[in-house]
Amino acid sequence: MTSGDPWQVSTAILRLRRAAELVNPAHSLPEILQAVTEVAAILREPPGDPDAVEAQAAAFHALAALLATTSMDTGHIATGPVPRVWEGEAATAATATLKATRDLIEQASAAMRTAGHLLDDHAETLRRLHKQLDVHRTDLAQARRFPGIRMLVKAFLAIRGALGVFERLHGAAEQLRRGMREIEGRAQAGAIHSTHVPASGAVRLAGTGILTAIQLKRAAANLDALSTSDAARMRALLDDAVTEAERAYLLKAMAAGHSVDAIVSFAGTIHGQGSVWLDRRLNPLSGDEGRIVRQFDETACGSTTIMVTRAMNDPIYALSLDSEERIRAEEQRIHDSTNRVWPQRLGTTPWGLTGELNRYGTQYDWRAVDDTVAGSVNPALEAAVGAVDAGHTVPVLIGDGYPKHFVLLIGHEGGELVFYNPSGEVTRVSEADFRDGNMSALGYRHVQGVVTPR
Amino acid sequence: MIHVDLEALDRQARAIAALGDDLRDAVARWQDALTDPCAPSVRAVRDAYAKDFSAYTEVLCTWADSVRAATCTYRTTDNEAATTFTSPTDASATLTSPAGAQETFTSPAGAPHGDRPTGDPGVTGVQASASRL
Repeated sequence: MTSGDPWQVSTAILRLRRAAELVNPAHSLPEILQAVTEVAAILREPPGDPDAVEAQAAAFHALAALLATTSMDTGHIATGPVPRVWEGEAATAATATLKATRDLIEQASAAMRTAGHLLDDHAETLRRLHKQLDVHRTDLAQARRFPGIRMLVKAFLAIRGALGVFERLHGAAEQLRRGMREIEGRAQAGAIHSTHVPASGAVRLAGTGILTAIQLKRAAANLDALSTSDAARMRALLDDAVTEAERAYLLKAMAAGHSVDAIVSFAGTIHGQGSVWLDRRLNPLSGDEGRIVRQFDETACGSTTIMVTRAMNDPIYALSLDSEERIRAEEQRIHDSTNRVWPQRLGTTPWGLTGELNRYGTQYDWRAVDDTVAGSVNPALEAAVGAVDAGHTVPVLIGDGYPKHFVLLIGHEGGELVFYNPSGEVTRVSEADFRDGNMSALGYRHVQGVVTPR
Repeated sequence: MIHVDLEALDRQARAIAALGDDLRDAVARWQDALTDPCAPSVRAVRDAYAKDFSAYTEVLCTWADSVRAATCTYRTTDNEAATTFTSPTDASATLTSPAGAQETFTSPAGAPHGDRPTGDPGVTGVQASASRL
């Protein structure tokens, strides 16, 4: 258990809790001694090896340093002697590839550095907690020497103390896990690199930031599943794309599950369009000229959340939302679909929203959250943040006292969660505020439900 | 007469190849340091980034091979393995870009089409720009 695996720490916590219950006068002496012996065995080998974690941190830091140098050198190559005497389409593509590689290596260097710091912090926490555990282990060993009730009290206090340390160990392991998961989600080039997408294409696509990790993986999987003739048609479309952004949107349409026929038609519409046009038409959250989609009806936050979720995953659908009238009509269509029984004036139910989303590929489940009950929000936070780190979007139901408003979790950057609010804004909320039930920045205080991918 | 600094091309190819090799070695050391026992979340980062690093290494190695291939072609063209081409019309090399496409890197005098090195038109231009390599 090098880093204090949360599952194993959880098991130890359960056993310590059970032992704490046994150590009282209501139980027989053999039972109590057995419990004390079991706890002593747990404390003999505390979870997590700080030296090993520190060694892992050092490995991340060493790689981060090498990547920083490699990024700089790749930059020199990208602008160096050969590109200076070589021009034309292939040269342009080559230079773009090298620059994208340089940028991604630079980002990877930062990611490795962050991982190193997370592990450094974790090693330090392990050392501190191990020292505290030493104290409780000594107390427990001494407790056996005392007779009667004094032994009970000392043993009970030692076990309770050890339990507290194990709970803090669990928290530290969870924090490490969350941080690492966010870093993992930033690795993208490898997700699309396949028989159909060479390394050069993978780094250029990852460099656009248009597809999330899960979309890149789905695009690669869907490309692999194409027939030989469809694969050739798709290859031709990708080769014909004028810019990397255009190519990325074609693959995003593939990731959304569209047929090659539909993508051919889509390609005809977007072919040759500039990056501003593509962003304005295909990104529902493009900040350009107030393009951010917003709800028209005050009871349609759920409908708008569904619309934006779909549009963020499907550029062909996003393209269809090209006017205020169409957005308004789509909002109403979705509201009609989700509220066949439930009155529309009461908004969208979580099950209505989930059912509608499940018609378009990714399958979701919803779960109620009571952020006034300890332990209810943490699993929800875990599921929501884990999904967004993987590249999904997550509808979140918030309210004051009762559910009132849907917002969409669209990103996780450091300790902050990025939300799209159907009122037409993008707002950041700290993980701590989400966990503590303070969503005031989004208009309502409490988290009351999350809709996460299965 | 075209002058191409083959040694400079060679140095460039070697430098790029070394960059790719250094990256590959560093990633291998990093992976070795993260063998079990290791937290599952750390393993997940290792596995996800290993694929990314593999793509970056492939890009660098392809580029190094391209430049090396160009150098070899020049050497073949120049039978005396010197840095001077006596026949401009034969002076061409194919560069395979990291993007996978191939284009002819050639003397303007010898190629009616294809990309040509930048610089002043004509043999003098090639001499000038190729010398920068």
